[in-house]
Amino acid sequence: MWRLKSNGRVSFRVGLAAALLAFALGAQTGAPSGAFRVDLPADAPVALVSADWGQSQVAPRGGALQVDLRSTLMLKNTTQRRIRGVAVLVLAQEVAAGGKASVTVPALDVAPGEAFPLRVDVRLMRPAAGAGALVEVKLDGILFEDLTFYGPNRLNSRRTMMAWELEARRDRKTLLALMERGGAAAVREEMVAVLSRIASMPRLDIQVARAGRATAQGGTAVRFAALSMPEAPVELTGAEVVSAGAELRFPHLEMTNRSSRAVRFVDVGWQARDRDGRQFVAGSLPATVQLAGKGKATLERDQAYRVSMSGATAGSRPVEFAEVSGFVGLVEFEDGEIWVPSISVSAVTGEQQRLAEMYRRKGIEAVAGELRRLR
Amino acid sequence: MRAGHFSDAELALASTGDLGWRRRLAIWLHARQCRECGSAIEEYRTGRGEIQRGAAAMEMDEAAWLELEGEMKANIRLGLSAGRIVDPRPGMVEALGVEAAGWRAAVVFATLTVVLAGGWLLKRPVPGLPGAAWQSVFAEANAEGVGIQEGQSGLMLLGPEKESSVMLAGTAGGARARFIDAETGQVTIHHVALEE
Repeated sequence: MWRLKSNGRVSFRVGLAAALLAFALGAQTGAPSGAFRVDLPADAPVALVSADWGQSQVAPRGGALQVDLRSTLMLKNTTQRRIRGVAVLVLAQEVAAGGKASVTVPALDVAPGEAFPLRVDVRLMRPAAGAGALVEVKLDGILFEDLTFYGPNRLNSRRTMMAWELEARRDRKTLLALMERGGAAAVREEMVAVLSRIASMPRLDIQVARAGRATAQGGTAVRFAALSMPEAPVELTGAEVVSAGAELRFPHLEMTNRSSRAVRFVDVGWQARDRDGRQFVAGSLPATVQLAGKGKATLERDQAYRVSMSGATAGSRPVEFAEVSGFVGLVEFEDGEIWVPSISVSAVTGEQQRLAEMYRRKGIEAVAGELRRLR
Repeated sequence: MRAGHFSDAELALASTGDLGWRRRLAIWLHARQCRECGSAIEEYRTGRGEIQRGAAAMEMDEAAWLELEGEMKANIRLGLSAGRIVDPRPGMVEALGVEAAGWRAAVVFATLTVVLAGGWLLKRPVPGLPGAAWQSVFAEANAEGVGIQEGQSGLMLLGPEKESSVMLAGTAGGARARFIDAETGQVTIHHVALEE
Protein backbone atom coordinates (compact mmCIF):
# COMPACT_ATOMS: atom_id res chain seq x y z
CA MET A 1 0.00 0.00 0.00
CA TRP A 2 1.08 3.55 -0.56
CA ARG A 3 1.17 6.22 2.12
CA LEU A 4 0.97 9.96 1.62
CA LYS A 5 4.13 11.63 2.80
CA SER A 6 3.34 14.42 5.21
CA ASN A 7 4.81 16.60 7.87
CA GLY A 8 3.22 18.59 10.68
CA ARG A 9 3.01 21.84 8.73
CA VAL A 10 1.11 20.54 5.76
CA SER A 11 -0.66 17.49 7.15
CA PHE A 12 -4.05 19.14 7.75
CA ARG A 13 -4.26 20.82 4.39
CA VAL A 14 -2.89 17.87 2.49
CA GLY A 15 -5.35 15.62 4.30
CA LEU A 16 -8.21 17.88 3.28
CA ALA A 17 -6.81 18.06 -0.22
CA ALA A 18 -6.76 14.26 -0.37
CA ALA A 19 -10.49 14.17 0.35
CA LEU A 20 -11.31 16.93 -2.11
CA LEU A 21 -9.00 15.67 -4.79
CA ALA A 22 -10.55 12.22 -4.61
CA PHE A 23 -13.54 13.98 -6.17
CA ALA A 24 -11.54 16.39 -8.27
CA LEU A 25 -9.44 13.61 -9.80
CA GLY A 26 -12.57 11.63 -10.54
CA ALA A 27 -13.82 14.60 -12.50
CA GLN A 28 -12.08 15.95 -15.55
CA THR A 29 -9.55 18.75 -15.46
CA GLY A 30 -8.05 20.97 -18.09
CA ALA A 31 -5.32 19.61 -20.29
CA PRO A 32 -1.80 20.68 -19.37
CA SER A 33 -0.55 23.76 -21.12
CA GLY A 34 1.84 23.03 -23.97
CA ALA A 35 0.16 19.68 -24.60
CA PHE A 36 -0.37 20.60 -28.24
CA ARG A 37 2.33 21.84 -30.61
CA VAL A 38 1.71 22.95 -34.20
CA ASP A 39 4.72 22.86 -36.46
CA LEU A 40 4.45 24.53 -39.87
CA PRO A 41 7.49 24.98 -42.11
CA ALA A 42 8.60 28.55 -42.74
CA ASP A 43 7.79 28.28 -46.45
CA ALA A 44 4.41 26.59 -45.92
CA PRO A 45 1.58 27.77 -48.19
CA VAL A 46 -0.61 28.18 -45.10
CA ALA A 47 -0.12 30.18 -41.91
CA LEU A 48 -1.55 29.45 -38.48
CA VAL A 49 -4.02 32.23 -37.65
CA SER A 50 -5.21 30.84 -34.32
CA ALA A 51 -5.46 27.62 -32.35
CA ASP A 52 -8.23 27.03 -29.87
CA TRP A 53 -8.08 24.04 -27.52
CA GLY A 54 -10.37 25.28 -24.82
CA GLN A 55 -12.30 22.02 -24.49
CA SER A 56 -9.27 19.82 -23.83
CA GLN A 57 -9.53 17.65 -20.74
CA VAL A 58 -7.57 15.18 -18.64
CA ALA A 59 -9.16 12.38 -16.64
CA PRO A 60 -7.55 9.51 -14.71
CA ARG A 61 -8.46 6.00 -15.86
CA GLY A 62 -7.06 3.46 -13.42
CA GLY A 63 -3.30 3.82 -13.43
CA ALA A 64 -3.32 5.76 -16.69
CA LEU A 65 -4.45 9.17 -17.86
CA GLN A 66 -6.96 9.81 -20.60
CA VAL A 67 -6.15 13.09 -22.31
CA ASP A 68 -8.70 14.53 -24.73
CA LEU A 69 -7.15 17.29 -26.80
CA ARG A 70 -9.77 19.10 -28.85
CA SER A 71 -8.60 21.90 -31.04
CA THR A 72 -9.65 23.96 -34.00
CA LEU A 73 -6.76 25.33 -36.00
CA MET A 74 -7.51 28.33 -38.22
CA LEU A 75 -5.20 28.23 -41.22
CA LYS A 76 -4.84 30.91 -43.88
CA ASN A 77 -3.99 30.40 -47.54
CA THR A 78 -0.91 32.57 -48.08
CA THR A 79 -0.50 31.70 -51.76
CA GLN A 80 -2.10 33.05 -54.92
CA ARG A 81 -3.64 29.65 -55.78
CA ARG A 82 -6.82 28.01 -54.55
CA ILE A 83 -6.33 25.16 -52.08
CA ARG A 84 -8.30 21.95 -52.64
CA GLY A 85 -7.03 19.82 -49.76
CA VAL A 86 -4.88 19.84 -46.62
CA ALA A 87 -3.36 16.97 -44.64
CA VAL A 88 -1.60 17.11 -41.28
CA LEU A 89 0.33 14.45 -39.40
CA VAL A 90 -0.61 13.86 -35.78
CA LEU A 91 2.36 12.53 -33.85
CA ALA A 92 2.37 11.24 -30.28
CA GLN A 93 5.59 9.31 -29.91
CA GLU A 94 5.16 8.88 -26.18
CA VAL A 95 1.96 6.88 -26.53
CA ALA A 96 1.95 5.48 -30.04
CA ALA A 97 5.49 4.65 -30.99
CA GLY A 98 4.14 1.88 -33.19
CA GLY A 99 1.97 4.07 -35.37
CA LYS A 100 1.19 7.38 -36.97
CA ALA A 101 -1.98 9.27 -37.70
CA SER A 102 -3.17 11.89 -40.13
CA VAL A 103 -6.12 14.23 -40.57
CA THR A 104 -6.96 15.05 -44.17
CA VAL A 105 -9.50 17.62 -45.29
CA PRO A 106 -10.24 17.21 -49.01
CA ALA A 107 -13.01 18.93 -50.99
CA LEU A 108 -11.87 22.40 -49.93
CA ASP A 109 -12.07 25.47 -52.12
CA VAL A 110 -9.99 28.06 -50.29
CA ALA A 111 -9.29 31.30 -52.13
CA PRO A 112 -5.99 33.20 -51.75
CA GLY A 113 -5.87 35.01 -48.41
CA GLU A 114 -8.90 33.11 -47.08
CA ALA A 115 -8.86 31.33 -43.71
CA PHE A 116 -10.40 27.93 -43.03
CA PRO A 117 -10.81 25.69 -39.96
CA LEU A 118 -9.12 22.34 -39.35
CA ARG A 119 -10.34 20.29 -36.40
CA VAL A 120 -7.89 17.97 -34.68
CA ASP A 121 -9.50 16.03 -31.83
CA VAL A 122 -7.22 13.46 -30.26
CA ARG A 123 -7.64 11.08 -27.33
CA LEU A 124 -4.51 9.74 -25.71
CA MET A 125 -4.22 6.99 -23.14
CA ARG A 126 -0.86 7.20 -21.46
CA PRO A 127 0.85 6.28 -18.21
CA ALA A 128 0.19 8.78 -15.43
CA ALA A 129 3.85 9.77 -15.30
CA GLY A 130 4.95 11.70 -18.37
CA ALA A 131 5.93 15.12 -19.51
CA GLY A 132 6.47 17.23 -22.58
CA ALA A 133 4.29 17.97 -25.56
CA LEU A 134 1.72 15.19 -25.93
CA VAL A 135 0.74 15.79 -29.51
CA GLU A 136 2.59 17.40 -32.35
CA VAL A 137 0.72 18.47 -35.48
CA LYS A 138 2.82 18.77 -38.63
CA LEU A 139 1.86 19.70 -42.15
CA ASP A 140 1.99 16.67 -44.46
CA GLY A 141 0.68 18.16 -47.65
CA ILE A 142 -1.43 20.67 -49.54
CA LEU A 143 -3.14 20.07 -52.86
CA PHE A 144 -3.85 23.04 -55.09
CA GLU A 145 -6.56 23.50 -57.68
CA ASP A 146 -4.10 22.80 -60.50
CA LEU A 147 -3.26 19.45 -58.80
CA THR A 148 0.23 20.57 -57.81
CA PHE A 149 1.29 19.45 -54.37
CA TYR A 150 3.36 20.85 -51.51
CA GLY A 151 4.59 18.93 -48.49
CA PRO A 152 6.76 16.12 -47.12
CA ASN A 153 4.06 13.53 -47.95
CA ARG A 154 5.09 11.17 -45.15
CA LEU A 155 1.68 9.48 -45.04
CA ASN A 156 1.10 9.62 -48.81
CA SER A 157 -1.43 12.40 -48.47
CA ARG A 158 -0.69 13.49 -52.06
CA ARG A 159 -2.11 10.21 -53.33
CA THR A 160 -5.13 10.37 -50.98
CA MET A 161 -6.04 13.93 -51.94
CA MET A 162 -5.32 13.47 -55.66
CA ALA A 163 -7.55 10.38 -55.77
CA TRP A 164 -10.31 12.25 -53.94
CA GLU A 165 -10.06 15.20 -56.31
CA LEU A 166 -10.07 13.03 -59.45
CA GLU A 167 -13.02 10.97 -58.23
CA ALA A 168 -14.85 14.13 -57.15
CA ARG A 169 -14.40 15.74 -60.57
CA ARG A 170 -15.64 12.52 -62.22
CA ASP A 171 -18.72 12.31 -59.96
CA ARG A 172 -19.61 15.99 -60.40
CA LYS A 173 -19.28 15.62 -64.17
CA THR A 174 -21.68 12.65 -64.07
CA LEU A 175 -24.18 14.62 -61.98
CA LEU A 176 -23.88 17.68 -64.23
CA ALA A 177 -24.69 15.50 -67.24
CA LEU A 178 -27.65 14.13 -65.31
CA MET A 179 -28.82 17.66 -64.51
CA GLU A 180 -28.56 18.71 -68.14
CA ARG A 181 -30.65 15.72 -69.20
CA GLY A 182 -33.25 15.60 -66.41
CA GLY A 183 -32.94 18.90 -64.58
CA ALA A 184 -32.67 19.37 -60.81
CA ALA A 185 -35.32 16.69 -60.23
CA ALA A 186 -33.01 14.01 -61.64
CA VAL A 187 -30.17 15.13 -59.36
CA ARG A 188 -32.55 15.17 -56.40
CA GLU A 189 -33.54 11.59 -57.17
CA GLU A 190 -29.89 10.57 -57.25
CA MET A 191 -29.17 12.36 -53.96
CA VAL A 192 -32.07 10.56 -52.29
CA ALA A 193 -30.75 7.25 -53.63
CA VAL A 194 -27.27 8.01 -52.21
CA LEU A 195 -28.74 8.90 -48.80
CA SER A 196 -30.71 5.68 -48.90
CA ARG A 197 -27.57 3.65 -49.66
CA ILE A 198 -25.72 5.36 -46.79
CA ALA A 199 -28.60 4.63 -44.40
CA SER A 200 -28.74 0.97 -45.41
CA MET A 201 -25.05 0.38 -44.77
CA PRO A 202 -24.40 -1.48 -41.55
CA ARG A 203 -22.23 0.32 -39.04
CA LEU A 204 -19.01 -1.55 -38.59
CA ASP A 205 -16.28 -1.75 -36.00
CA ILE A 206 -13.01 -2.75 -37.62
CA GLN A 207 -9.71 -3.83 -36.13
CA VAL A 208 -6.50 -4.44 -38.04
CA ALA A 209 -3.40 -6.22 -36.73
CA ARG A 210 -0.30 -7.79 -38.16
CA ALA A 211 -0.82 -11.51 -38.57
CA GLY A 212 2.79 -12.49 -39.05
CA ARG A 213 3.60 -14.72 -42.01
CA ALA A 214 5.49 -17.25 -39.93
CA THR A 215 2.62 -17.90 -37.55
CA ALA A 216 0.65 -21.09 -37.99
CA GLN A 217 -2.89 -20.01 -38.77
CA GLY A 218 -6.08 -21.91 -39.40
CA GLY A 219 -9.33 -20.85 -40.99
CA THR A 220 -11.45 -21.67 -43.98
CA ALA A 221 -11.15 -20.38 -47.52
CA VAL A 222 -13.66 -17.69 -48.53
CA ARG A 223 -14.86 -17.40 -52.12
CA PHE A 224 -13.28 -14.41 -53.84
CA ALA A 225 -14.57 -12.64 -56.95
CA ALA A 226 -12.66 -9.94 -58.81
CA LEU A 227 -14.82 -7.25 -60.40
CA SER A 228 -14.28 -7.12 -64.16
CA MET A 229 -12.86 -3.71 -65.12
CA PRO A 230 -11.69 -3.80 -68.75
CA GLU A 231 -10.46 -0.20 -68.69
CA ALA A 232 -8.29 -0.61 -65.57
CA PRO A 233 -4.52 -0.58 -66.24
CA VAL A 234 -4.09 -3.33 -63.63
CA GLU A 235 -6.19 -6.48 -63.49
CA LEU A 236 -6.85 -8.33 -60.27
CA THR A 237 -6.40 -11.96 -61.28
CA GLY A 238 -6.90 -13.73 -57.98
CA ALA A 239 -6.66 -13.67 -54.22
CA GLU A 240 -6.51 -16.08 -51.35
CA VAL A 241 -8.99 -15.07 -48.67
CA VAL A 242 -9.21 -16.91 -45.37
CA SER A 243 -11.69 -16.39 -42.58
CA ALA A 244 -11.69 -17.67 -39.05
CA GLY A 245 -14.73 -16.53 -37.11
CA ALA A 246 -14.90 -12.76 -37.46
CA GLU A 247 -11.31 -12.58 -38.65
CA LEU A 248 -10.36 -12.17 -42.28
CA ARG A 249 -6.97 -12.38 -43.97
CA PHE A 250 -5.76 -11.88 -47.52
CA PRO A 251 -2.51 -13.88 -47.58
CA HIS A 252 -2.05 -13.51 -51.34
CA LEU A 253 -3.17 -11.07 -54.03
CA GLU A 254 -2.35 -11.62 -57.68
CA MET A 255 -2.39 -8.91 -60.32
CA THR A 256 -1.31 -8.23 -63.88
CA ASN A 257 -0.26 -4.93 -65.38
CA ARG A 258 -2.18 -4.50 -68.64
CA SER A 259 -0.42 -1.26 -69.51
CA SER A 260 3.11 -0.80 -70.76
CA ARG A 261 3.92 1.69 -67.99
CA ALA A 262 5.52 0.70 -64.71
CA VAL A 263 3.21 0.83 -61.69
CA ARG A 264 4.34 1.61 -58.14
CA PHE A 265 1.08 1.48 -56.17
CA VAL A 266 -2.28 -0.26 -56.42
CA ASP A 267 -5.25 0.15 -54.09
CA VAL A 268 -7.66 -2.79 -54.11
CA GLY A 269 -11.05 -2.09 -52.57
CA TRP A 270 -12.89 -5.00 -51.00
CA GLN A 271 -16.47 -5.56 -50.06
CA ALA A 272 -17.99 -8.56 -48.40
CA ARG A 273 -21.22 -10.44 -47.94
CA ASP A 274 -21.97 -12.08 -44.62
CA ARG A 275 -23.82 -15.34 -44.00
CA ASP A 276 -27.10 -13.38 -43.64
CA GLY A 277 -26.68 -11.97 -47.16
CA ARG A 278 -25.83 -8.42 -46.09
CA GLN A 279 -23.30 -6.64 -48.24
CA PHE A 280 -20.90 -4.02 -46.94
CA VAL A 281 -17.70 -2.24 -47.88
CA ALA A 282 -15.13 -2.94 -45.24
CA GLY A 283 -11.88 -1.63 -46.54
CA SER A 284 -9.08 -1.44 -49.01
CA LEU A 285 -5.79 -3.17 -49.55
CA PRO A 286 -3.29 -0.53 -50.57
CA ALA A 287 -0.11 -2.11 -51.87
CA THR A 288 3.23 -0.64 -52.83
CA VAL A 289 4.33 -2.75 -55.79
CA GLN A 290 7.06 -2.93 -58.37
CA LEU A 291 5.00 -3.89 -61.35
CA ALA A 292 6.77 -3.51 -64.68
CA GLY A 293 4.83 -2.83 -67.88
CA LYS A 294 2.83 -5.96 -68.82
CA GLY A 295 4.26 -7.62 -65.72
CA LYS A 296 2.67 -9.82 -63.06
CA ALA A 297 2.96 -9.69 -59.28
CA THR A 298 1.90 -11.77 -56.31
CA LEU A 299 1.64 -9.81 -53.09
CA GLU A 300 1.83 -11.31 -49.63
CA ARG A 301 -0.24 -9.57 -47.00
CA ASP A 302 0.39 -10.06 -43.29
CA GLN A 303 -2.57 -8.14 -41.92
CA ALA A 304 -5.69 -9.56 -40.35
CA TYR A 305 -9.04 -7.81 -40.03
CA ARG A 306 -11.74 -8.20 -37.43
CA VAL A 307 -15.09 -6.79 -38.39
CA SER A 308 -18.18 -6.56 -36.22
CA MET A 309 -21.54 -4.96 -36.83
CA SER A 310 -22.61 -2.31 -34.37
CA GLY A 311 -25.78 -0.29 -33.92
CA ALA A 312 -29.15 -0.47 -32.30
CA THR A 313 -30.68 -3.06 -34.60
CA ALA A 314 -27.76 -5.40 -35.05
CA GLY A 315 -26.26 -5.07 -31.60
CA SER A 316 -22.50 -5.56 -31.63
CA ARG A 317 -21.69 -8.92 -33.11
CA PRO A 318 -18.91 -10.34 -35.24
CA VAL A 319 -19.37 -10.65 -38.98
CA GLU A 320 -19.18 -14.14 -40.45
CA PHE A 321 -17.85 -13.78 -43.97
CA ALA A 322 -19.42 -15.78 -46.80
CA GLU A 323 -18.03 -14.06 -49.88
CA VAL A 324 -15.54 -11.30 -50.66
CA SER A 325 -15.18 -9.32 -53.87
CA GLY A 326 -12.40 -6.98 -54.87
CA PHE A 327 -11.84 -4.21 -57.39
CA VAL A 328 -8.97 -2.01 -58.46
CA GLY A 329 -9.78 1.39 -57.01
CA LEU A 330 -6.58 3.30 -57.76
CA VAL A 331 -3.34 2.86 -59.67
CA GLU A 332 -0.30 5.07 -59.34
CA PHE A 333 2.23 4.87 -62.16
CA GLU A 334 5.96 5.20 -61.66
CA ASP A 335 5.86 8.85 -62.82
CA GLY A 336 3.28 9.77 -60.15
CA GLU A 337 0.26 9.90 -62.43
CA ILE A 338 -2.85 8.51 -60.80
CA TRP A 339 -5.64 6.49 -62.41
CA VAL A 340 -9.12 6.09 -60.91
CA PRO A 341 -12.07 4.25 -62.49
CA SER A 342 -14.09 6.33 -64.95
CA ILE A 343 -17.32 5.27 -63.28
CA SER A 344 -18.02 4.95 -59.59
CA VAL A 345 -17.28 1.44 -58.30
CA SER A 346 -17.91 1.97 -54.58
CA ALA A 347 -21.44 1.93 -53.25
CA VAL A 348 -21.00 5.56 -52.15
CA THR A 349 -17.99 7.68 -53.05
CA GLY A 350 -16.72 10.54 -50.93
CA GLU A 351 -18.04 13.26 -53.24
CA GLN A 352 -21.44 11.58 -53.55
CA GLN A 353 -21.59 11.46 -49.75
CA ARG A 354 -20.59 15.15 -49.47
CA LEU A 355 -23.16 16.32 -52.02
CA ALA A 356 -25.91 14.14 -50.56
CA GLU A 357 -25.26 15.63 -47.13
CA MET A 358 -25.34 19.10 -48.69
CA TYR A 359 -28.72 18.22 -50.23
CA ARG A 360 -30.00 17.02 -46.85
CA ARG A 361 -28.89 20.20 -45.09
CA LYS A 362 -29.46 22.90 -47.73
CA GLY A 363 -31.64 21.48 -50.48
CA ILE A 364 -31.24 20.72 -54.17
CA GLU A 365 -30.50 24.33 -55.16
CA ALA A 366 -27.31 24.27 -53.10
CA VAL A 367 -26.19 21.06 -54.81
CA ALA A 368 -26.99 22.43 -58.26
CA GLY A 369 -25.07 25.60 -57.42
CA GLU A 370 -22.08 23.57 -56.23
CA LEU A 371 -22.07 21.51 -59.44
CA ARG A 372 -22.14 24.66 -61.58
CA ARG A 373 -19.50 26.43 -59.44
CA LEU A 374 -16.99 23.56 -59.53
CA ARG A 375 -17.68 22.67 -63.18
CA MET B 1 -12.49 29.77 7.19
CA ARG B 2 -10.45 32.65 8.40
CA ALA B 3 -11.99 36.10 8.06
CA GLY B 4 -10.98 37.79 4.82
CA HIS B 5 -9.62 34.54 3.34
CA PHE B 6 -11.02 31.82 1.12
CA SER B 7 -12.04 28.44 2.54
CA ASP B 8 -9.62 25.49 2.37
CA ALA B 9 -12.07 23.66 0.11
CA GLU B 10 -12.08 26.51 -2.41
CA LEU B 11 -8.30 26.84 -2.27
CA ALA B 12 -7.94 23.09 -2.93
CA LEU B 13 -10.33 23.25 -5.86
CA ALA B 14 -8.55 26.33 -7.18
CA SER B 15 -5.28 24.38 -7.16
CA THR B 16 -6.79 21.87 -9.63
CA GLY B 17 -8.61 24.41 -11.80
CA ASP B 18 -11.99 22.99 -10.80
CA LEU B 19 -13.68 26.30 -10.02
CA GLY B 20 -15.63 28.59 -12.31
CA TRP B 21 -13.52 31.24 -13.96
CA ARG B 22 -14.92 34.11 -11.88
CA ARG B 23 -14.21 32.40 -8.57
CA ARG B 24 -10.84 31.24 -9.86
CA LEU B 25 -9.96 34.80 -10.89
CA ALA B 26 -11.03 36.17 -7.49
CA ILE B 27 -8.89 33.60 -5.68
CA TRP B 28 -5.96 34.20 -7.99
CA LEU B 29 -6.12 37.98 -7.37
CA HIS B 30 -6.42 37.39 -3.62
CA ALA B 31 -3.57 34.86 -3.54
CA ARG B 32 -1.27 37.37 -5.21
CA GLN B 33 -1.68 39.62 -2.15
CA CYS B 34 -2.11 36.97 0.56
CA ARG B 35 0.93 34.84 1.26
CA GLU B 36 -1.04 32.42 3.47
CA CYS B 37 -3.59 31.54 0.77
CA GLY B 38 -0.92 31.50 -1.93
CA SER B 39 1.21 28.99 -0.04
CA ALA B 40 -1.90 26.92 0.76
CA ILE B 41 -2.66 26.59 -2.96
CA GLU B 42 0.94 25.58 -3.57
CA GLU B 43 0.70 22.91 -0.83
CA TYR B 44 -2.46 21.48 -2.37
CA ARG B 45 -0.75 21.34 -5.71
CA THR B 46 2.20 19.47 -4.15
CA GLY B 47 -0.18 17.14 -2.33
CA ARG B 48 -2.05 16.40 -5.54
CA GLY B 49 1.19 15.44 -7.26
CA GLU B 50 2.01 13.09 -4.39
CA ILE B 51 -1.43 11.50 -4.61
CA GLN B 52 -1.07 10.97 -8.33
CA ARG B 53 2.38 9.45 -7.90
CA GLY B 54 1.02 7.26 -5.13
CA ALA B 55 -1.92 6.19 -7.30
CA ALA B 56 0.47 5.28 -10.10
CA ALA B 57 2.56 3.27 -7.67
CA MET B 58 -0.62 1.45 -6.61
CA GLU B 59 -1.02 -0.16 -10.00
CA MET B 60 -1.35 -3.88 -9.44
CA ASP B 61 -0.19 -6.52 -11.80
CA GLU B 62 -2.40 -9.45 -12.80
CA ALA B 63 -0.85 -11.80 -10.28
CA ALA B 64 -1.71 -9.42 -7.45
CA TRP B 65 -5.29 -9.11 -8.68
CA LEU B 66 -5.61 -12.91 -8.86
CA GLU B 67 -4.28 -13.21 -5.31
CA LEU B 68 -6.77 -10.61 -4.11
CA GLU B 69 -9.60 -12.37 -5.97
CA GLY B 70 -8.67 -15.70 -4.37
CA GLU B 71 -8.64 -14.13 -0.93
CA MET B 72 -12.07 -12.56 -1.47
CA LYS B 73 -13.57 -15.82 -2.71
CA ALA B 74 -12.15 -17.68 0.29
CA ASN B 75 -13.71 -15.13 2.64
CA ILE B 76 -17.08 -15.43 0.89
CA ARG B 77 -17.00 -19.25 1.14
CA LEU B 78 -16.04 -19.01 4.80
CA GLY B 79 -18.99 -16.66 5.41
CA LEU B 80 -21.43 -18.99 3.64
CA SER B 81 -20.22 -22.02 5.58
CA ALA B 82 -20.50 -20.16 8.87
CA GLY B 83 -23.99 -19.00 7.87
CA ARG B 84 -25.12 -22.58 7.20
CA ILE B 85 -23.82 -23.73 10.58
CA VAL B 86 -25.72 -21.10 12.54
CA ASP B 87 -28.86 -21.07 10.31
CA PRO B 88 -31.73 -22.68 12.33
CA ARG B 89 -33.94 -23.21 9.18
CA PRO B 90 -34.06 -26.72 7.64
CA GLY B 91 -32.08 -27.44 4.44
CA MET B 92 -33.67 -28.30 1.07
CA VAL B 93 -33.61 -32.03 1.65
CA GLU B 94 -35.14 -31.76 5.11
CA ALA B 95 -37.80 -29.27 3.94
CA LEU B 96 -38.95 -31.02 0.75
CA GLY B 97 -38.22 -34.62 1.40
CA VAL B 98 -35.60 -36.73 -0.38
CA GLU B 99 -37.78 -37.44 -3.48
CA ALA B 100 -38.76 -33.82 -4.23
CA ALA B 101 -35.23 -32.59 -3.65
CA GLY B 102 -34.01 -35.24 -6.08
CA TRP B 103 -35.98 -34.13 -9.16
CA ARG B 104 -35.47 -30.47 -8.34
CA ALA B 105 -31.75 -31.08 -8.16
CA ALA B 106 -31.96 -32.87 -11.52
CA VAL B 107 -33.72 -29.83 -13.08
CA VAL B 108 -31.08 -27.50 -11.64
CA PHE B 109 -28.30 -29.77 -12.90
CA ALA B 110 -29.85 -29.94 -16.41
CA THR B 111 -30.28 -26.14 -16.56
CA LEU B 112 -26.68 -25.61 -15.49
CA THR B 113 -25.52 -28.07 -18.15
CA VAL B 114 -27.43 -26.18 -20.86
CA VAL B 115 -26.03 -22.82 -19.69
CA LEU B 116 -22.46 -24.12 -19.55
CA ALA B 117 -22.73 -25.81 -22.94
CA GLY B 118 -24.20 -22.62 -24.48
CA GLY B 119 -21.42 -20.55 -22.94
CA TRP B 120 -18.78 -22.91 -24.30
CA LEU B 121 -20.33 -22.82 -27.79
CA LEU B 122 -20.42 -19.01 -27.79
CA LYS B 123 -16.93 -18.60 -26.41
CA ARG B 124 -15.28 -21.61 -28.00
CA PRO B 125 -11.84 -20.90 -29.36
CA VAL B 126 -11.74 -20.40 -33.13
CA PRO B 127 -8.63 -20.86 -35.21
CA GLY B 128 -7.02 -17.65 -36.35
CA LEU B 129 -4.57 -15.13 -35.12
CA PRO B 130 -3.01 -15.90 -31.79
CA GLY B 131 -4.53 -13.62 -29.15
CA ALA B 132 -1.13 -12.09 -28.52
CA ALA B 133 -1.17 -10.43 -31.96
CA TRP B 134 -4.32 -8.51 -31.04
CA GLN B 135 -2.93 -7.67 -27.64
CA SER B 136 0.19 -5.94 -28.96
CA VAL B 137 -0.33 -3.16 -31.51
CA PHE B 138 -3.47 -2.89 -33.57
CA ALA B 139 -5.45 -0.24 -35.41
CA GLU B 140 -9.14 0.26 -34.89
CA ALA B 141 -12.05 2.15 -36.46
CA ASN B 142 -15.37 2.50 -34.70
CA ALA B 143 -18.16 5.02 -34.21
CA GLU B 144 -15.99 7.03 -31.82
CA GLY B 145 -12.99 7.41 -34.08
CA VAL B 146 -9.92 5.66 -35.45
CA GLY B 147 -6.96 4.80 -33.29
CA ILE B 148 -3.93 2.73 -32.45
CA GLN B 149 -3.76 0.64 -29.30
CA GLU B 150 -0.48 -0.50 -27.82
CA GLY B 151 -0.81 -2.13 -24.42
CA GLN B 152 -2.17 0.47 -22.00
CA SER B 153 -1.25 3.32 -24.31
CA GLY B 154 -3.19 4.51 -27.28
CA LEU B 155 -3.98 7.31 -29.66
CA MET B 156 -7.40 7.92 -31.18
CA LEU B 157 -8.52 10.57 -33.64
CA LEU B 158 -12.04 11.42 -32.49
CA GLY B 159 -14.88 12.09 -34.90
CA PRO B 160 -16.96 15.22 -34.45
CA GLU B 161 -19.75 15.07 -31.90
CA LYS B 162 -22.28 16.02 -34.57
CA GLU B 163 -21.17 14.12 -37.62
CA SER B 164 -23.89 13.38 -40.12
CA SER B 165 -22.47 10.24 -41.60
CA VAL B 166 -19.37 8.16 -41.30
CA MET B 167 -17.74 5.48 -43.40
CA LEU B 168 -15.19 3.18 -41.85
CA ALA B 169 -12.57 1.11 -43.56
CA GLY B 170 -9.73 -1.14 -42.61
CA THR B 171 -6.70 -0.58 -44.78
CA ALA B 172 -3.51 -2.60 -44.96
CA GLY B 173 -1.92 -2.06 -41.59
CA GLY B 174 -4.26 0.72 -40.61
CA ALA B 175 -7.75 2.09 -40.33
CA ARG B 176 -9.59 4.99 -41.85
CA ALA B 177 -12.80 6.89 -41.24
CA ARG B 178 -14.46 9.43 -43.51
CA PHE B 179 -17.14 11.67 -42.11
CA ILE B 180 -18.93 14.92 -42.70
CA ASP B 181 -19.41 17.50 -39.99
CA ALA B 182 -23.14 18.12 -39.58
CA GLU B 183 -22.60 21.80 -38.78
CA THR B 184 -20.03 22.87 -41.34
CA GLY B 185 -20.42 20.22 -44.03
CA GLN B 186 -16.63 19.82 -44.04
CA VAL B 187 -15.29 16.42 -45.10
CA THR B 188 -12.57 14.92 -42.95
CA ILE B 189 -10.60 11.70 -43.39
CA HIS B 190 -8.94 10.26 -40.31
CA HIS B 191 -6.26 7.69 -40.90
CA VAL B 192 -4.00 5.71 -38.60
CA ALA B 193 -1.25 3.41 -39.79
CA LEU B 194 0.86 0.86 -38.01
CA GLU B 195 4.56 1.34 -38.64
CA GLU B 196 5.86 -1.03 -41.29
